[in-house]
Formats: sequence, structure tokens, C-alpha cells
Amino acid sequence: MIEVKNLEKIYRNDAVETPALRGVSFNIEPGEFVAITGPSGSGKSTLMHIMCFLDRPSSGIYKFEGKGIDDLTDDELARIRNKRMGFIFQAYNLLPRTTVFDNVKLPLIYSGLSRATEQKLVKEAVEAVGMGHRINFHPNQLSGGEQQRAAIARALVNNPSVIFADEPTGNLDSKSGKVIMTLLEELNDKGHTIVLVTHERYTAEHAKRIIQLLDGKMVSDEKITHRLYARDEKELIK
Amino acid sequence: MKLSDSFFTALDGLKTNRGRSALTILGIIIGIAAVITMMSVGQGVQNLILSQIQSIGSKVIAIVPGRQPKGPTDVISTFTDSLRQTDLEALKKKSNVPHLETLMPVVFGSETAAFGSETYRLTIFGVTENFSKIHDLYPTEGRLFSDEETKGYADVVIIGNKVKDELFGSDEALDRRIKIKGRNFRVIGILPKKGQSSFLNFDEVAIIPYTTAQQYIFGIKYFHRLVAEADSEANVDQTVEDIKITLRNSHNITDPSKDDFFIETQTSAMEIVSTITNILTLFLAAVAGISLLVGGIGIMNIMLVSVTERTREIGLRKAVGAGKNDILIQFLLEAVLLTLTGGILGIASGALLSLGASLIFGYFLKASWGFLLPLNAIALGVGVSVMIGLIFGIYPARKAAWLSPIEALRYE
Repeated sequence: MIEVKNLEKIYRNDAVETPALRGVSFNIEPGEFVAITGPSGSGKSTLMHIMCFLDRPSSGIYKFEGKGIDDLTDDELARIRNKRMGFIFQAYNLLPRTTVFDNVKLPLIYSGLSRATEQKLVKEAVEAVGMGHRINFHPNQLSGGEQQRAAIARALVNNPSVIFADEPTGNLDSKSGKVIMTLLEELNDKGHTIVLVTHERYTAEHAKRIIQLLDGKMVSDEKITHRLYARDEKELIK
Repeated sequence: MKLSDSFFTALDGLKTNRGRSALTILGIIIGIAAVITMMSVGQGVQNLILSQIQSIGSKVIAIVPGRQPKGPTDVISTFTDSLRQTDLEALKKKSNVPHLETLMPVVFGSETAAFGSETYRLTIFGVTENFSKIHDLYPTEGRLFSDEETKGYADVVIIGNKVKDELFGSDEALDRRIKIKGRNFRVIGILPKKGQSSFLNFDEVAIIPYTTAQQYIFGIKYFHRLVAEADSEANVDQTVEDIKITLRNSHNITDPSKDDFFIETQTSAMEIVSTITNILTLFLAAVAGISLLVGGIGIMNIMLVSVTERTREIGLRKAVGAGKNDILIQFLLEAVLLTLTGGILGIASGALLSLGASLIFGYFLKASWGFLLPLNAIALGVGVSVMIGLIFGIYPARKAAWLSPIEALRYE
């Protein structure tokens, strides 16, 4: 489903070249729950951005569901992001002065569905994250955890095959963090592939597999044998 | 993306900064209002002048001495003495100008009239009794002077309503004598109150036989103009041609470009006035249009600020699947929504200003054109405001559309 081969990314700023990724290779199969982890500057965010079609690699091969990033135009990438991917950000990135309903609907307005279908999908997604009672609230009326749950609803409203989560618990207290991780586990159980970027080892251990980066290179790729389940925990220890 | 979604997205964007949006469109409102006012007032003034010309009558032909003025500095050629008694006689011959019904020589000038200790500066209008028919203006008191009185250099005068008030007040004026240039004129008629008409205020005139005016008031042998009337509207063009031929013969002119007279009809006068007022209106509207340019730059400025402020929003929209065109349309629509709102408010305020202008002018000039809002001005206002939105919105919108999603998301 996801194929990463000898991926390199070099940032050029004036005459200075900063390599962020130096030859990373791995595959992700449907249904996996992969945590990409590493200290800051290890290249995990760069890798994530390429994997979710927001950035292009300097060299190497990246394929998403068999489609190579180099063969697609920016607008084609946007279409795939819209239909097949969901995004969760550290800072939630909800539109202020816009209700939860409209925030969750955002990906749908670019997918050309009927009004009725839009309504139905948005309601389902909001219910799925337990935010039905907050559907007409504005982000500034919600707690951080609730905002991130709204953001998760937005990520799954298009029923994507892969959900990319970039430090989803980074801005949250441990209780809210637990709720978010529980939601991600549930989504994975329902068949969504999850790619989680985090620098917290404890959070990463909730995944089924951990890929560790350091200085733009992959240093380990291991299956988790003693997986942690957020649903069994009281809080997410940091 | 559905058009209704684009519309509501754009509307939300504008509502976020109500105060700023309102201030921004003020430039457009003022610009459009100025253009609309200029067009409306220009059209109104044109109609007013045209209605004055129409009041002369469509069968009337004016023969003016000199060359048709070629420009505003070409004044001297209009004051010549080429029209004389021989022309009058030549034109009166049926064989020369068969469709000529009346022919009236005109001499005019400014003089002071006195009655007792009262004096009043008025316009002397030396004509024949035909002036009543041509201008559709008959004395309410007294009578017209007769053909015999004209031929006999009679010292008789018909005075305008205001002249009567100034010299006689509420006293009886008929058969009294007023003094003009040392001669005593007997008042034989008083004109009704008429106001401004045909560029002449008949309330401030003293009408006397042209013979008397030539001989004793102005001391000239020529006419300031000849006013003719064709027997029917259909024969006006033919009569104009006949008059030209007759006058050229009489003046021994073979080359029409050397004519020492020119002819004005209602149609030709209306054409000239229309041309002049149209150019003036266009010029004024263009000057007002400059403020639209300034307003447009304001729109561009505010849209650029908006794009920068909402960089993260743009990044998010792109991340969840918005294409370049979706973003382009969103910001373009915002700009157009701004300018269109400004345009509509501008048309409304322009209409109010024009209404005010027509009322004020009507009050001071005692001649009103009646308020009107030309449809083409409304169409122009709407069209121009949309155009400004598109022209000045495209650069900020393109800037937004081409933002890299990853940099936009990282933007703080």
C-alpha cells in the first residue's frame, strides 16, 4: 500500500544544502499501525510530509496505493489526499469562527458529493469521535482534547484508507492523549491504516510497529511484541 | 467544489473581518458613486439643454452671420456683418425659397431702460411681430406691434414681466413711456412670466421693431441673425438648402467652404449639444473613475493581507484536498464580493447624490432636469465593480493558490 525506497530529501537554502532524509526504505501494508519516531531533526516530519503527498522527495521512489508521486501533478496529489488520506495535526488546525460541523465537512466540499451525503457523512464522523453534542460549537468553545477529536472526525469523514497523525497528542494532557490514542486504535481496528509520527517512545508503543529515524536514516524497524492499549489505560504517560 | 460552497466560504472569509471589509469597500463605494453621479447629472443637463432647444420649434431655421466656430477660441468669426437687407429681400422671394413661411430679422444687445428714476439693464430684442408665433409667446396685456409700425421705425416696446416689475412695480405700465438710449418708447404690450427658455430669458427683454433697433439703438445696417420658419417639418432640409443657395448667390460665393454665414436647425443644434455634453460626461466620469483605481488598489492590498493572515487556512485546505483552482476561486470570489457590494452601495449613494444635485440645481436655476438614473450607468457600475474585483483580486488569489501546502501549514 505504501512503498518507500531509497527516499532522499535535501533542502536547498541559498547555497546551503541540508539533507533531511538520506536513503530510507520500507513498505507499509493495509491495516498496519506504524509509529515513526526519532528525536527532532531526525527527518520524521519530512518523511511524513512526503508520505502524505504534501511534499516531493529529492530522489528515490515513493508510491501510495501503487501510484508514484513523480507521475502525478499537484492537483492529482490533492485529489488523492482528498479521497484516500486523512490528516491529524499536532495543533489541530481547525478553522476558527467555524463550527465543528463545518470544520469536519471541509474535505467534503472538495469532493463533489451531494448535500445530503455530506450531511450524513459529517454526522457519522462526528458521532464516531463522540462529539455529537458539540457539533454546532466553535473551536474556541472546546477543550484541546475535544478540538483534536473534531480534527479526527475531519480526518475520517472521507473514509480514507490511511490516516496520518503528526504528533496528535503533543499538545494534550495525558487524559486527553489517552482518548485520542483510543480513537486511533479503534480506527485501526475498523481497518484504517494508521501512520503516527511521535517523538514520545511511550506513545509510539501503542502502535503495532515502530520505525526509528536518526539523522535522516532508518536505525530500526521493529514489530511491537508487548503492545500498549490506550483503552486499558487511565492516562497517556509522557 | 460547488459554487454555493465557494460562495459561502468567501462570505465567511469576509465576515471574519467585518470592519476591515467595510472600510475597504468604502473606496469602491465612493468611486462608483462619483461615476454614477457624473453620468446621471450629465444626462440630466443634456436633457435640460435639449428640451430648451426643442422649445424653439422644429420648423425654425436660424441663419447666423460668419463662419461656424471651429473651436472655443474661434469667436471673432461669429461676429460679422454679412447679413443685410438685400438678403432679407432675396430670401423672401418665393422663387428662391418656396417653402419659407416666415422670415424674421433679429438684432439684439444690452441696454439700460429708464422710467422716471427707475432704471433697469435689459436685453433689447429687435424683431418683427412674428416673434410671437416663432416663440409661441403672446402679450397678456396690450398687443403686438404691427407690420406698419415695423416699417415706420415706430418707438413702441413690448416688455418682459420682470422689466415691468422693476420699472413700474404694481403700477399700470401700458401706454407709459420708457427711455432707452435717449428715445421714448411707448409700452404697448407686456409678456407673461415665462422664465428661461431657448437660452433667452423673456422676462428680462424689451421687444421693439428691428428697424428701430437698427437705426436708433445700435446704429447698424446688418442683422445679428435671421430666423426663418419652414412651412412644414418635412421641408426643413429643403429650405435650408434653398437658403444656402440664395445667400451664396446674393453674396457672390461659389466655394461653400468660404460661406460667410451658417445655418442652425433644431436638429443640428441638438446634435452639437449632445456631442459636447457626452464628451463632458465621459470626461467627468473618467476623472471619477480614477478614484475607482485607488479603491481597486485598496482591495488588492487588503486581499494580500488576508492571504498572508490565512496562510495556515490555505495550507489546511490544500492538505485536505483543495486544488489550486479551488483556492483561486475562493479568494477571487472574496474580492469580487467585496467590490460588488461596494458597487451596489455606490450605485445607491450615486443615485441619492444625483437626486440631491437635481433638486439643488432645480432650486437655484429655476430649471430642473428631473432626477434620472440611466440604466447603462447601473450596468456600468455593476460591471466595473466586478471587473475591479477580478483585476485587483487575481494577483492575491494566485499568490494564495500557488502557496506550497507544507510551508503554509508550518506558517506561524
